[in-house]
Amino acid sequence: MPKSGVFPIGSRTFLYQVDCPFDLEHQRRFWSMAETLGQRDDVVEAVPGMTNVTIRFERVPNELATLERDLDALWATGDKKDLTGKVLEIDTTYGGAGGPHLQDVCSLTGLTVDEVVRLHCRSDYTVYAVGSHAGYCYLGGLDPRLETPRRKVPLKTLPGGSLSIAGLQTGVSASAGPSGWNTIGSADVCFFDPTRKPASLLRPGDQIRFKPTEVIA
Amino acid sequence: MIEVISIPPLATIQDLGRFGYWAQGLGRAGAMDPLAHRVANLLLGNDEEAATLEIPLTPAQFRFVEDSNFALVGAASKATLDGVSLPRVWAGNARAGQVLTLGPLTQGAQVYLSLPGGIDVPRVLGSRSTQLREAFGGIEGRVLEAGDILRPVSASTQMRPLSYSLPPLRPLGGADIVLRVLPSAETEEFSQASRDAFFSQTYTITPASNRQGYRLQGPELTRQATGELRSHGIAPGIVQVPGGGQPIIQLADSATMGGYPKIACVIEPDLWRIGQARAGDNVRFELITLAEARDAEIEETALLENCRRLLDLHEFQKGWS
Amino acid sequence: MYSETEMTRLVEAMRRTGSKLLEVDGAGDHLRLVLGDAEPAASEIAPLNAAPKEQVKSPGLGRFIAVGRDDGLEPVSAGAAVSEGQVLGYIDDDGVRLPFCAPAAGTLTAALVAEGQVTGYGDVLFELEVVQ
Repeated sequence: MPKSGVFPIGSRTFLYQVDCPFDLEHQRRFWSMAETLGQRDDVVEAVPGMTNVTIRFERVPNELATLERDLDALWATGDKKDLTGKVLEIDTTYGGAGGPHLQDVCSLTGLTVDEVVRLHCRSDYTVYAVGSHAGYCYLGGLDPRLETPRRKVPLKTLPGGSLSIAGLQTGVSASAGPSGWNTIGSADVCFFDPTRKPASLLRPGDQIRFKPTEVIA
Repeated sequence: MIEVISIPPLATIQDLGRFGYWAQGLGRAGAMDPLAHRVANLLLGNDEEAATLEIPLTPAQFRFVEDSNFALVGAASKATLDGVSLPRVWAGNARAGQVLTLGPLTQGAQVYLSLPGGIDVPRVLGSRSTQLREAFGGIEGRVLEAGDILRPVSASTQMRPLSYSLPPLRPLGGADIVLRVLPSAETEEFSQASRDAFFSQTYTITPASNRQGYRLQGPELTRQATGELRSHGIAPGIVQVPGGGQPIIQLADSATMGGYPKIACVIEPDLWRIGQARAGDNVRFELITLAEARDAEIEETALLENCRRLLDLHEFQKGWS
Repeated sequence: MYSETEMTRLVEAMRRTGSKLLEVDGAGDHLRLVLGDAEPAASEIAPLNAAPKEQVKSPGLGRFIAVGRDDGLEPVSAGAAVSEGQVLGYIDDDGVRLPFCAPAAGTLTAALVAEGQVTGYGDVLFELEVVQ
C-alpha cells in the first residue's frame, strides 16, 4: 500500500498519494484532484497516475507542510470525476507476429488461446491514466484469470499498437519502444497524433473495447 | 544559414521543452543543459526559448552558406572557424563559405549552436524541441544528418564577438560533479547503509546513458520494503533504483510515468550539470532542504537576469567603436 | 558627446569594475571621468621602436582575463606566434566577456596588463610584431 503524503519528484514537481485501495472509485477522486489542481495559477500541470497525482509547480513551493494540508483538504472533499461515456472500439489481431507471447500466456494461465482471447475482450476497460509514452493508456479491468508476471527479459523494441498484459494490467503501446510485458496481439489505432486536437486519442475516464478481427493460434 | 557537412547521428534541435502535454503522456524533451542553451540565445539577443542545435557527439562540420552571426556554448570542442580556434563560449560573425569544425568534447558533454532569432523550424504542440520517440518536432522529429540546412529566424548584422563565464561544472578543486537533491517517497525505505552511501559516495556515469536517462554505477542500494509501486508521474531529475540496486537519473526524454522506487530527486537548477556529465565522470549527491532548493532557484534566476542586463548594456556600448 | 543616460551607465560600469579613471577618445572629443579621489594613473605604453608593431587594444571597460583558463583554448604566452583573428584574451564585466583578437599574424609581446586588472576602452593590452 502506498504511503500517504506529498513527496518531491523534482524541486518543482511533487507526488501526492494516499494509502487507499486501487480501484475505480478512488481513481475517480484523483481525476477530480488533477483537474482542480491544474486550474491553480501556481501549477503548470497536474497528472493523475494510478491512484495518485503528480503536480508540476511554476516555482519551488514555500513549505511542504502547507502544500500537504492543501492537498489533504482537496482529497477530503471526496469529489469524483465521472467516466466520460466515450467507448472506443479497437480492431485487434490476437497472436501471430504481432502477438509473440500469446502461447506463453496460455502456458502461464493454463487457458487455451480461444479462452484467453474471450476473457481479454469480453469486458470494457477504463482508461485510468495516460502516460509512460504519448497516448499510452493505463487500463483497468483485466480479468484476474489473465494475471501473468512481467517478462524476465524485456523486448528491446515493439511496434506501436502492441497489445500487452502483465500483472493485472493491460495496455496498447502508442509508439515503438521497449516492453517487459507479454504481448498478445496488435491493434490498428493511432493513439497519438501531434496534428490532431487533442493529440492524444483517449483521456482518463474514457473506455476501450477490444474487437477480435483475427486470432492466429 | 548553415549547411551540415557531417555530424554523428545524435544531434537534435531543442528549446526549453514542451509543456502542457504531460497529461497526454508527452515527455518535456528540451535541452539537456538549459543554461548553456539560454546563454547561446542571450549572446545573440534571442529569446531564451529560441531553438538551438544540441550537439552531444563530435566531430562535426558546418558550412556557412551566407554571412551569419552564430553562437557556440557548452563543452570545449576545439572549435575552429576556418582554422581559427574559438573558445567554448562564443558569439560572433562568420562569412559565407567559412567552415565551423568541432573536435572532441572536453569539459562537458553538450555544445549548443544558435543562430539569430533561433533556428527556424515549426513549433509543434507549442515547442520546437525534438520528440524522438514520437518522431515529431525539431527537424522532422529526427537527429540531424549531412545535408541538413539550418535557417535562422532573423537576419544577421555585424556584431562584436561576445563570450560569457559559465558557472563551473564542479566545485573549485573538486573531482566530482555535485548534484543537489531532495529526498523522495521511498528514501526512508532504503537501508541506513544505502542512504549513507548514496548521499556521500561517488557514483560513476556509465556509457548506458542518453537523453532518456543516465545509468550510474556505485555502492549498491538496498530497499528494505518490497512490493511494486503504483505508476505515477515522473520528471527529469528523479533518481530511481530498480531491482539491480544501481541508480538511474531520468532526464529530458524519459517516460512520463514510472513505478520504480525513488531515492532522491535532483533539483532543477542542477539538471544542467547532469546534462554536461560524460560517461566516466563521477557525481556525488548532496542532500538539501526545500528552503535551500528555493534559494538555488532564486540564485539561478538572478544569474540569468544579470547576464541579460549586462548584455543589454553592452548593446549600448557597441556604439562606442 | 554623451547623453546623461549614457554617462550614468558609464559611471555604473566604473563602480562595478572598481575603476576610478576612464578616458575615452570620441570623434573630435575627449572624455575623462574620475571617480572619488582617484589619481590619474600613468598609461603603460611600450616605447616605440623601429620594428612594425600593432597594438592590441581593449574593446571595453572591464577586467582583463587571459585565454586558457576554462575556455577550452591553449594559453597564449609572450613570444608566441599568433594568427590573425586568434583570441588573445577577454575583458570581463561580471561574467559577460568581450573577446579581443589578434589584428594580424605575428609574435606576441608579454601582456601589458596583469590578469584581473581593470582596463578601459582603448588601453593597449599586448603588442604584436607583425609578420611581414
